Amino acid sequence: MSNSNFSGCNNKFGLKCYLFQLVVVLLLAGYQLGWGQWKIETNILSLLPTDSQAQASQQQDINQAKSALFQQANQRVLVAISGEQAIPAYHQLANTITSFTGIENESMTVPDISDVIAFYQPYRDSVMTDDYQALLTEPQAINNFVLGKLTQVSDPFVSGSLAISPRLNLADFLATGLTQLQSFETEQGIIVVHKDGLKHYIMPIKVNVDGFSVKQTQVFSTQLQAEFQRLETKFDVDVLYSGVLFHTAESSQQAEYEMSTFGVISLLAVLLMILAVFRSAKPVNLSLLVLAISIIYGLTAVVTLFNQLHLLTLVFAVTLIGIVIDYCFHAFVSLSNSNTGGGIKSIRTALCLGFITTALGYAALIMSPLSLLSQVAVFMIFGLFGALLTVLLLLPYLNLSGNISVTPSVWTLTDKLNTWLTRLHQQRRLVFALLSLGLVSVIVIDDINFNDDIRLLNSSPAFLIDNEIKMAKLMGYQHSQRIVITADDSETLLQRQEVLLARLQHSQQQGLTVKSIASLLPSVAKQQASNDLLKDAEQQQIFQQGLAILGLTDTVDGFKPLTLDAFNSGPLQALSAVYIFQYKYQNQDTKNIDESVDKKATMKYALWVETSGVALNTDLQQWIADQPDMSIDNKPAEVSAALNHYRQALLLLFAGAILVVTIVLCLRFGLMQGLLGLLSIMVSAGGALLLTQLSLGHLNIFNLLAVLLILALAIDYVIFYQEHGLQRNTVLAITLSAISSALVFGVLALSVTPAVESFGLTVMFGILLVFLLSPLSAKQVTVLSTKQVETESRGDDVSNNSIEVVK
Amino acid sequence: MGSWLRLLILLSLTGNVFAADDAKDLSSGKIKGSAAPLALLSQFKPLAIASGTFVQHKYFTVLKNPVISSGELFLDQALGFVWHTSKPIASTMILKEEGLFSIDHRQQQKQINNATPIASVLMSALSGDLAALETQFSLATTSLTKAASSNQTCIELTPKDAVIAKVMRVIELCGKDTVDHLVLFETSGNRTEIELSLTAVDELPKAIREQL
Repeated sequence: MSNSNFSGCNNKFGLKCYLFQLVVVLLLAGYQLGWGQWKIETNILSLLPTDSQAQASQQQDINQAKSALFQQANQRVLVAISGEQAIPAYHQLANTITSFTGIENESMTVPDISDVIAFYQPYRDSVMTDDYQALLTEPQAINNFVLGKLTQVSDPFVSGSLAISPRLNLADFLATGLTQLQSFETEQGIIVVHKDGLKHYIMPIKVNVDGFSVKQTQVFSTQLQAEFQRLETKFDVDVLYSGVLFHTAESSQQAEYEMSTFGVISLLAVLLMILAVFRSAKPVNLSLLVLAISIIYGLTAVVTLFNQLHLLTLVFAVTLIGIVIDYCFHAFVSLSNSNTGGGIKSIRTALCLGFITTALGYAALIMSPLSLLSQVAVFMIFGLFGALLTVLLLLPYLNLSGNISVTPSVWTLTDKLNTWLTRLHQQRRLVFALLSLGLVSVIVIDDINFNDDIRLLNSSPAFLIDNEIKMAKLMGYQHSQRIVITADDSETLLQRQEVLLARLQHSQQQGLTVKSIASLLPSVAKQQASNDLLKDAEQQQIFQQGLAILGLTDTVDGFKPLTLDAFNSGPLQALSAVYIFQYKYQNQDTKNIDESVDKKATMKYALWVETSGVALNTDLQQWIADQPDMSIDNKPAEVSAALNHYRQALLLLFAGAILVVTIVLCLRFGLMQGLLGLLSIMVSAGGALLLTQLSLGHLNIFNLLAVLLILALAIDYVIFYQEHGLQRNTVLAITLSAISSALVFGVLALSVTPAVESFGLTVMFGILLVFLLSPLSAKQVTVLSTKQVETESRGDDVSNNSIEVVK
Repeated sequence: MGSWLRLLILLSLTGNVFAADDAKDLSSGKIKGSAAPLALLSQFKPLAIASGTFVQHKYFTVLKNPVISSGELFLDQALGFVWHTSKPIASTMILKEEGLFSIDHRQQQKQINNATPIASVLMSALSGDLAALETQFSLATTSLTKAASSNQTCIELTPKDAVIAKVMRVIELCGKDTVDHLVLFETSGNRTEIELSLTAVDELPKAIREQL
């Protein structure tokens, strides 16, 4: 009696603490919901690793420049219209777009040649092409060049600039530069591409989506796609479109769909199972309560720590249901036995031990540079913590003892299962030996190959990917690469660009086309050099004969630099906006959650040079990689490299996690039992990977993530078996837990996203193996007293089933 | 007082607008009035395959004398055309399916992207490809230069494409059976006069066909 009083006081104190922290968490959740600065992220690439501080600041710099560039690219949509009525359709689209807020037609208006020439007039003697420079050595070469230009049927640059630049260096410079940058033909001011005998009219569209707001992206995507559809039916044209926007919209819709259907299906299945086992609505309601609390804990922690929540985190987080429900099962089964020494207290140690080991396993992931992993880890740890607190502190107070009982037929089945497991337990040496041998031999025979392809993350429908490929072919983007250069000021930037261009030219790679703003905006240093060359040539009377033939006189102007600022105020500003951009540079060392970050940010310059036609050769790639301020922008390759990198990091983490588990198990249960537990965990995890490899043909980082989950579940199972032996309570709780986890993760195997599918499949295999192998590590098989069996099974003939003591 | 002034200004402005409209009607009336230009243009016999010579006078507003050049040209509607200048300096312009290419006296070949419409217009004009011309130009009969003084037919082509119109104001084609005189009036005030003598042939020389 006094004992129960004490336990009542204890419960009340625990409950007060529990309620207090629950209120705190709920307040925090409410604050985040109402005033929090977090946002939902759907861009798969935002999950890429952020740089570690150890990396050189220059490298951070380039990556920031690249992400600014990437942000630009994200907002771009390309539309190609072909067919008889393509031009009217184009105009209709241009018209409709003006009525959409946030979407604008970005087709560049072709600048008036006379405006361009007038703009360059003050700088006429500071610009020249490399070809022109080569002619400056002899008068005859220049004469021939000028005559050749003057006799062309029509050259608007010569026509327009002869009066102000009779040496024709300006005409040559502008014709070459504009031709290089505007490599597309235009018809009635519309970019037109000829392909397979068809004219495709191209409209670049800019969509103002900031930070990939899911709803906004979906609205824009639907709006545009509906408009394309209308154009196709109204004008009988073909509309081809491409852009990150559509992929984001599709994959976020897919993720939302999967999240809601998978979540609902697995939840329903699990709840049905609880109803079937306990024949009462109470456990169902309690499970829902525990689940709701754990989800609130997880979400609050993620949005508080990350300021953003990735949609994929939520997809992975469906797995929380699987583990939280385990806690509930252990609690319910123990409560249903409370009159025979059960109760929550009996499982407290095992639950806490299980939670600590699982949390330690996930904690290793928090440090992961892959933000998806850290988000999932935080979500799981805090979610599980919330569930643990609720189960240990709230459920006992609800005085459920005797109110929850397991259906007798379920006990019958459990006992049958227990008998079978006991028999398996007797043969455990043989089983472990056989499985380990099998595992090792399959690993030896079958090549384990890892796949780090970025497409694992992609759930885009085939037609969108097809559109992307067609558009790339149409626009000649194949083999196109962007080389990003960064610098503190625009002059250094332009000079470094010239170094790169010289290197590209020097490589003399056949079929390599290079596009850059350098052809219209040389560095001030190069302009000065050009001006000096012209003056020298004039002194050597190189131009004299040619000018005399034309009857013109002209002297070379003094040097006047054309700066980026001046260029941006001219008629070609739109071109410079495409190639050169300023971005906010944040030194990672000063990065802080503090708002004062903005003050430390400085503006830096970046530009990109596009190469196409053929892929850069390895020499060039190596050279660029060696430059601290240059980098090839190749997102897919970077993602694959990152996945590879983190796969290896994850393997290391496993080693760490296994060490932790070994220590915890050995400390608690002794060396022999600890190692046995470890063996069953390892064989389950390894077997799950192997079965996945056999069924999918390859493994990827998401299978390894699944292993992490298998470890978490396996640790729980092993600890419970080690603590309680092959007891019917434990067997029932673990069986229910395994079935519920299989239901939850089995659903994930149906996902369209290969990453999620891989994850689900491996966990399925893992759970099956863990379920079979973890009982084998049990210390002993508890004798079920005949009396107890009779009480529980009410006369079922269970007592006759073999109930043995192994040890 | 102020509002009266405003009204006056408004009235004078609208007057100007109407006047402009009148002028437009007048000019378009003139075009419509003088026998359908397409019918006239159809006097030019379409040349599927032809070769010939040309003499080009380029008048630059800043130069006292025209820049004179001459050479040969070859055209095949199915393949494209070759415009070879031999004097005073050799250069070649080739229009083929892949685009427009220029080869200078040092045999350096370059692709010219932006000028393709103008070059294809030139080819359509020379070969008398009416349909192609009509899509790109408004056609009108004219008395700009030679037509009045001889019994030649002259057609004035005004580019419909705003981009071409920024460079090329009007193209004038004159001739009897085939186009033998062509003038390009540029918006800059410069003009190019080309005298042509084209004859239909069965097949272009092999060396030329290889270039196309």
